[in-house]
Amino acid sequence: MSEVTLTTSVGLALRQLKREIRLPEYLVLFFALVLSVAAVTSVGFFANRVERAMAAQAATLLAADAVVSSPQQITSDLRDLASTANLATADVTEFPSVVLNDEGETALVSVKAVGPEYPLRGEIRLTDELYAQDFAATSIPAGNEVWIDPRVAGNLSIEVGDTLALGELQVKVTAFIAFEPDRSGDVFQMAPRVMMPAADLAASGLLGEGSRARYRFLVAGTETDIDRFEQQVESLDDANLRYQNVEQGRPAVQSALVNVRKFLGLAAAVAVLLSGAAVALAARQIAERDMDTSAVMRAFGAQSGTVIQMVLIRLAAIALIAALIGSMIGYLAQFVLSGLLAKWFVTELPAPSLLPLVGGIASAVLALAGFCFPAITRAVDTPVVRVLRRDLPVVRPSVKLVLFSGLVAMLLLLTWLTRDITLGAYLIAGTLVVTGLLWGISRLLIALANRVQSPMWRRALEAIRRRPNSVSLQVAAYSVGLLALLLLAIVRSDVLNAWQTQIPEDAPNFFMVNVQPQEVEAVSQFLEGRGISEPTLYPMIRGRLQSINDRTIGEGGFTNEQARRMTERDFNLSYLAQPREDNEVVAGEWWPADTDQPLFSVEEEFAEETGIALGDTLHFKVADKDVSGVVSNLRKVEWESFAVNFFVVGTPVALADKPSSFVASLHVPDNQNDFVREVVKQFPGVTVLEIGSMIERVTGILERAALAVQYVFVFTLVAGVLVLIAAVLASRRERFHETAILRTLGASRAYLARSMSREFLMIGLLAGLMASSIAALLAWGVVEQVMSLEYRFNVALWITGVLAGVAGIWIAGVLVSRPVLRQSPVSVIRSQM
Amino acid sequence: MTILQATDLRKEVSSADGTLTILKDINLSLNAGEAVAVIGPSGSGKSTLLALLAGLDSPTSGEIHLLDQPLHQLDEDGRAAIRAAQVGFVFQSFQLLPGLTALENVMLPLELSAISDAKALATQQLDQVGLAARQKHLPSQLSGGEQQRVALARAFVTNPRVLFADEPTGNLDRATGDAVVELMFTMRAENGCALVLVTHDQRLAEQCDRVLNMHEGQLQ
Ligand SMILES: Nc1ncnc2c1ncn2[C@@H]1O[C@H](COP(=O)(O)OP(=O)(O)OP(=O)(O)O)[C@@H](O)[C@H]1O
Ligand SMILES: [Mg+2]
Repeated sequence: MSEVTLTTSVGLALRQLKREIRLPEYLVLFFALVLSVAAVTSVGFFANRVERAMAAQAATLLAADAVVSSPQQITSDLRDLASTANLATADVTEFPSVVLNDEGETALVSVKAVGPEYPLRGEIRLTDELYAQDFAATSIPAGNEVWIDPRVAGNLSIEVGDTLALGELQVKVTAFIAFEPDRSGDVFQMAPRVMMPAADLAASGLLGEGSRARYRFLVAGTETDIDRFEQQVESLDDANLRYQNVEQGRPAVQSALVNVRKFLGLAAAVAVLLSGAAVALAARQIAERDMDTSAVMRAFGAQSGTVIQMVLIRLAAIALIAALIGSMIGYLAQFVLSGLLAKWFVTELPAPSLLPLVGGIASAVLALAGFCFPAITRAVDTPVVRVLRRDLPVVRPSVKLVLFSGLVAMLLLLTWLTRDITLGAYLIAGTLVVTGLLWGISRLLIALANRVQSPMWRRALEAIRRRPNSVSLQVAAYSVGLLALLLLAIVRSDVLNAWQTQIPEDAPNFFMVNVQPQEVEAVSQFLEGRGISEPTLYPMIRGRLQSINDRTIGEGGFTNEQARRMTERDFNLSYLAQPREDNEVVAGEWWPADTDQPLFSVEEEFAEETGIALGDTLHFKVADKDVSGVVSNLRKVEWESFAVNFFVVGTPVALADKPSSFVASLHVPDNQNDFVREVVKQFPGVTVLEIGSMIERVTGILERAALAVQYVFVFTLVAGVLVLIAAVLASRRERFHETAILRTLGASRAYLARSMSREFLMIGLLAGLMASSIAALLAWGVVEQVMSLEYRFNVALWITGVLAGVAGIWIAGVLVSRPVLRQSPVSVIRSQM
Repeated sequence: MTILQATDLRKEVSSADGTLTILKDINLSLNAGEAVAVIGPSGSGKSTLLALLAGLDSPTSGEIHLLDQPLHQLDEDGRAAIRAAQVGFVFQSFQLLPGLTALENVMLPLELSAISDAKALATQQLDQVGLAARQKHLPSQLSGGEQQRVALARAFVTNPRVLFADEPTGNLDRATGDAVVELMFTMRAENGCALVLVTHDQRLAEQCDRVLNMHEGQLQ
């Protein structure tokens, strides 16, 4: 006798599947898989696009093999190092500024002054007209000429050949920039570019003391030369210098994207976890069905290998189809994600590769394998005699085994999703704890419901009491999904609201920086003349913390990380005679206005982080001179006010004679449209920054990131609904029987429908109340405790949550249970025999 | 020629209150083509005996030889290999696979014993039980009598040498049951296979060559 061939069992298995796929438990299994694949791939495809955009840019990211950047002019020491290492070099200086067209309209731009050798790697591409064919630049802009980003042209209606005012220069626009290799290596949007020759810098008057310029020293050469150069730069031990090679050249801002990716991964992971629960529930019912089938097949002579083979083939087919459909949904969903986050990117994102598909298929297979493997191995353990005696118990895989293998599979999946095994473990533990908690609470409430004695609700209550575990599972599973979604909605709206409402009406909307000491008088008069209230120009001095008391930071057991970091770069100091009204002295006392002591006032939180105490002596290095003084008081600063503030303020005696520039924050009324234009005209060296729009942009980005994460959480909610349906299905067989008996005893269909509907209403109410309330509680924790913002209980959202719970469970429950009512009692009882 | 021989069969199950003996001292043999009815009150052990004889379960002690194979020495897969193609079943609760159509249910044993041309043979067999028009219907779309006729087609399609039937009319009304029984005996006559029939029904038992009486786990 010959063995059953693989083709035969594939044929048989698929034929069976074709019909069974319509059974609700198969549908739940299928949709749960589709869902987790969709969640995984939507995030996967999106991350893949972003990563590819970054990789594509990495090659020409620096326009050089390595870059040394500094807030100060590049020293001749450094230039010497480069020339002894035989490296080609180029200078780039970048700073924010404002340009004006002939009509006096202004645009905030990012100026880049380049030396003649720029770029060392890659090329600049230009166009003559907007959106025309681009060509490679053969040089840099000539004297008194600039190349501009088309966005500047758009804002100021500029064409090639027009002139712009840039600082004290009148410059001619000779080309539009289509591509520049080292756009700060930045896929994030920033102010549009104006590129000028470095030789014009001095004449423009834009680089006074305190300008926010960044000096970049580009080098290129052989790998060994570059490596040697790197070591030498390192040995200079100058903390102002930042060395970047191509690998390190990824922008710091990338970490923001990495974080968003992680969050999206987390959101997807929660959806995957919940789908896993639905898979587990559905797989259990399917396995039970399969045991009957398996018994019949084996009675007719099937080998156990054949039976297992067929189960496997069916599951594999489901996994494959689910993976394909899920990936398709994921692919479409990622367009929404990248649409939501598109504003972050300057360039078009490249099309996604098909790599995330592998992840999608793997996640389906893994979820199935994890939850179904124990059941599969038991498929042949059911006694064949069951064909004769239906009352024999089926052999169920142990719950512990299923849980264990399922969790292992989930851990693998989550680790892969979040690229972080601890995070994966925490997530599983967290979900288990929250689900367990929800389960426990609903068990408790059900126990309490025993006391309710309402005849109308009696049967519905009884039905719940009879299945406390199953009901609690439904409640817990659905609540987890709802909870995640609600929590995010609350935090998103509350945090953003709180942040926005804390910005007062007359909050500063402009910063003025780079005001030279000799201009202070004139600028003050200008501002007063425009009726801009109380503009205080604060002096700003660059200094570096050397030591606290006489301990050099980093040595002698003084290991405060924050302090160490402060010693590695310059930061801004100021001096002040009178105490500021908006700074509250919280320790020590403010100095007399005419003090001749060098004293310091330190911001409270900064002092704590850095380990500075009242009475400590701080030693600063300011423009090569030592400045020391005792900390005479600690201040509290409201950073949210957007006023200019400093961590460390000294007495005039200590700092007034040091090189400084002045800054101010102002509230310019909306009707002064010509403010920026006039400032730039009268004080070409002064930079005006509009922070109003910056706040708007930051808020916008936060909002969109939160929205994207929340969007992925929709998968979570759907997964919750699936778990719910799976749980209702699990009790359906029992319900069939119960209803049939009640029907034969004379209960009307309408009566049963009503009591069933009430039952689900109550379960829904329970889930909704729990999810909504716990979400509000968690949100309070996040908003008040973690973010130190004011939490306002959002009644509308709370009610929405409760209603969503009621509606979701009621609809799912009634829909899934409807066939129970439609069945005639006779057929139900017959089918039980 | 003896095709089924049981010697000193004993079946015990362990339950909460000790060991329960369901069958004891069972000795019987069945010749090729012979029909035997097993009757007895409910709970007397008829189904248990049938299960042992067909190799669906294994005895606590004793020997069973089915078609010259020592069932009691084989494992479940070994017994399944004997059942494939040589043994047919008809059950009280039909036991059609709900996911397969009538035709596919009939094809199942052919496919499991790797017999080629399964579809043609199954179609022919369905035709014989008068359900040619219902090939594509699922069990849930068929009446009880029709389901049992599909089960008969499934049982006979491999030309088995033994047919085991456990109360094949138990779930049917009298008229339908009679029709199914008549069909079963007709098909057996054509096929010439041996039959072990468990029933409550004295009339049905009388149509067999021999009647065995089961009482409290013993044959009398
Ligand atoms: N696995 C088992 N565990 C416990 N008791 C069993 C088991 N199998 C059979 N029995 C018991 O053995 C006895 C005989 O069962 P069996 O099903 O063989 O009876 P039957 O003669 O077929 O009855 P019926 O005519 O009602 O179908 C019954 O009392 C039954 O409860
Ligand atoms: Mg019986």
